[in-house]
Amino acid sequence: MADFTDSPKSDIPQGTLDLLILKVTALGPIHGYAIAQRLQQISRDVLQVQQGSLYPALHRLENKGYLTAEWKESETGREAKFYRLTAKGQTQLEAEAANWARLTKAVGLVLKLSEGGVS
Amino acid sequence: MSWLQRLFAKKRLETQLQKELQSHVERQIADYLRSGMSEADARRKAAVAFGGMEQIKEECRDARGTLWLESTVQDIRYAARTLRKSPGFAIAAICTLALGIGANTAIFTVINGVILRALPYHDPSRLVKVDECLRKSGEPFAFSYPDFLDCQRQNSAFTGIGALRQRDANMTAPGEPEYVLTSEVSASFFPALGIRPVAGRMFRAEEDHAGAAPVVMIAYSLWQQRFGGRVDAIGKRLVLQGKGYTVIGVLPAHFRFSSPPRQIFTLIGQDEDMILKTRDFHPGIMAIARLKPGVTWEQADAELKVIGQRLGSQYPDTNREMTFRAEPLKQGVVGDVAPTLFLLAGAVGLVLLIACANVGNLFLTRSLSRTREFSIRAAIGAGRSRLLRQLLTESVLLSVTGGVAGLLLAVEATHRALNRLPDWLPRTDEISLDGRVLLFTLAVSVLTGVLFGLAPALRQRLSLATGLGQGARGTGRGILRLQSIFVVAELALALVLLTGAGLMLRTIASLWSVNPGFDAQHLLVMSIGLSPKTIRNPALMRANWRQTLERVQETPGVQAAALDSLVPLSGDNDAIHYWTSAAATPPKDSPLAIVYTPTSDYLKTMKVPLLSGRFFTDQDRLGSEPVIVVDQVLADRIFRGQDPVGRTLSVQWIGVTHIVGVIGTVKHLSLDEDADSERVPAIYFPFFQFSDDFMRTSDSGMALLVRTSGSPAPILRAIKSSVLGPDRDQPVHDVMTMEQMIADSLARRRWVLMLLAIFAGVALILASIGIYGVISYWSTERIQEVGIRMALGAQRAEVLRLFMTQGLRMVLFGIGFGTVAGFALTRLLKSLLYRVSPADPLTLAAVALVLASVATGAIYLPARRAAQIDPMQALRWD
Repeated sequence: MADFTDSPKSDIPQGTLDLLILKVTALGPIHGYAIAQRLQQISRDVLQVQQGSLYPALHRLENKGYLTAEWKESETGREAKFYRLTAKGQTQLEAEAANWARLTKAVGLVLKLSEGGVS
Repeated sequence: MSWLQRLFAKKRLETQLQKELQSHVERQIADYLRSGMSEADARRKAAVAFGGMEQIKEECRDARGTLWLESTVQDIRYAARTLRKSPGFAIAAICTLALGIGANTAIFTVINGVILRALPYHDPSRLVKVDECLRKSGEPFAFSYPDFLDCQRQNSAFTGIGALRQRDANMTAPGEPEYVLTSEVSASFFPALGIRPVAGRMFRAEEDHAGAAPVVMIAYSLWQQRFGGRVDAIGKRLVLQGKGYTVIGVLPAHFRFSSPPRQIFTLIGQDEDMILKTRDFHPGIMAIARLKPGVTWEQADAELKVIGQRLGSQYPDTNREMTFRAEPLKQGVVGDVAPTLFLLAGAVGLVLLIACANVGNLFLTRSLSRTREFSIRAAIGAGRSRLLRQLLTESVLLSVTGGVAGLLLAVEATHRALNRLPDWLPRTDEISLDGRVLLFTLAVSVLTGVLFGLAPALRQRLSLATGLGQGARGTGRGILRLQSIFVVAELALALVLLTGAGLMLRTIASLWSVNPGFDAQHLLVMSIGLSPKTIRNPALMRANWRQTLERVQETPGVQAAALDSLVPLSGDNDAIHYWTSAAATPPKDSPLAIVYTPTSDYLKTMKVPLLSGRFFTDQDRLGSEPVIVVDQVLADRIFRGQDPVGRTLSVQWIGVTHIVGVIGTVKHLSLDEDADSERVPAIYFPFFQFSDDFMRTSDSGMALLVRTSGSPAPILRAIKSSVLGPDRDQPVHDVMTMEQMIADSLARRRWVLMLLAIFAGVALILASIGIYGVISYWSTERIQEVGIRMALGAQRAEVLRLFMTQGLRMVLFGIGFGTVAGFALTRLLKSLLYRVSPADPLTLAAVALVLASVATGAIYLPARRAAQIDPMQALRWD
């Protein structure tokens, strides 16, 4: 599976894990394992999350009120904890996403400049 | 869910967490199995992909936000459990801490009661003490009554200013004749303090004059004792000094102004004593005032200076050199005891530091044997800060337990100490446990715990990585170093305290060996008053004094007896101006002398040597030529080597007198008055030459000095009944031996000595335990090495020497650092020392020797034990 791809893998930069979780949960209620799978699939296996470290982040976001959770039956018929984005979390997601966009754009500009690529 | 709910839902949350993480791993395994892996591979891979389960759980709990509280509760439980498992360690640590914290709490309780607490009056920050004082030096004087009245009339800074003069009296009704502590106050006194009566009414301003109906206010305790606390006490009669008064009011139970508390208050304006009418008498009147809103005490002080200036030009003869000053009342009441108390607080702080170092050492030793425990805890997911917190929880748990024990100790100790406290300290009745003391103890306890807990905690950080590889008993060179530093510090601090105590001991010893100028042995001092029947008439008074004195002189066992207005070293002081010209009033800048008014057997009673001329005889009586006797200091200062006998000297209030004799110098105010420049000359004036006006002033009593042939105790009874007289209405009070009086004059120094000695003793014991513990620990730590050495032929003496050298090196360092620190710190004692320098080499050498010998003993015991061990047993150790 993921381990066999040839593309280089990146550790997730500090602080961006929260943003990614918020984005994934924005698509609908989802449990922890599925979040981990989704992150890996969407990023085409570039982003490497040690799966366990996802959970402290989930609990922290729940604690801050960005996520709510409820236990219900999953597609396999087993009980799982499903996380859902709250209104507060939605606002936070938009703010962080905008922030991220600004940041990456700025970093991109700087990198181009240093290569002398700006006309 | 609030964090509080989460806290209580802890168990459910834990199960859910476990379930959530578990289901993740199971899904992963299921996926791996589906992709065709073997079960074992799938499980292994899923576990690796997931990471450390316990660590992740801990992080999740942390994210929950209640972990700090949960883990603190858990830490405390765990700490209590571990401490219970090593009771010896816990008890040693708690006792040490209880001593250290208890001693600090005790001293703080005193400081709190005496210095920090607000005075027990309404809005006490607006109260000031007002003094009359010398314009040049600022040296305070009691008020003269006319000056007080002028300050009262002319000031605009105070809402009220009140006067108080202690004037003890013989109360003959109601009940048995009794000597009562009485004060004369101005009508403005209680309103200025903000005191209201609990029964009856206050004094009125119009009553505060000669000729007004005599009225008294009484203290709550006298109301209870003599009037059964009944409301009908108001309006009852009370006889003081043979004069009838009407009780008009009762003061509240909590009211205190001076110590010991006064029982009866009369009005000063009703007292027709001539010494209240002139400005050149300052008969013990003190004044307090309440500042008007918005006025500072400095502004009041400045205004008083203006009044002083004005009175100075208005009455140059009496007021030229006088002025007034104000200071916050608390400052006036507390006086100069603060530096002494802070000094003791510093000393007791050192004791706590030693206790900390000791317990810190215990902790270090213990933490070594727990290295593996901590490494395992770290390996299974405890964060570094989590471990530090665990260690600190243990130490704070210990120190707070020690603090509670210390608090109990302090309550008991302060209670006991206060009962035997010499009266140099003001406000002792306000010393008690309160919220501030509790807060102090709590703060000190927690701080102490953090302080001594930190040492092993920091060390722990260094050795976690290596800890797993080690056996149950760790080694570690770092710890030996840290332990030696602690022990050296303890020894050094103990030496500082020992030096302080040694210096005070030498001071007290030198003071005891000071010749006071008279013989204090077999000498009794007491206060006596005259029968109320005789005190209206000066001639009767004179006769009664003479008869009373003769009755005492004839009492079997009495060698000699004399009356006097003032007793040396009693702390009291009467001063008068003297000058050499024949001017009627004191010229500008005329010097002051202490004045005594003894009767003719004074020299025989006190055993003061007569240096030239004669002393008084019965012929020096009213109407005969005024004579005085002077002391050596006055003779030297005025007559510079010539014999003053036969010369004249002008003395305030008396006029020109003839000097008939010179006597030896006595110590008047304290035993340490030494340097000639500081000594105040003394003038002796014969009591029976007193004019009628002066004789009246003796109605409040005289001091009776009695020299007994043997021990004074057995004949005191006979003396008392001789004084009591035919009408049995002349009670004796305040009986003391002269030796007691001298001891009391050293009260402050003796107090400091006593406490420093206790602190130094505790410090010495703690430091010895410290060094004993460390050497014991080292010798078990190196027991295998000892075994090998002995197996290779080392003698027991060499082993002994090995440990002794190690210990003695610490002692030497301790003495070195302690001496240096001592040089810096004992300087603070300087004002209390007498005839010994703060860097006294003899004291330093002596205390260093004491410390060295005690410490050597403490090293020898464990070192010998190590040397006597069987080599075979030693090799098999651990």
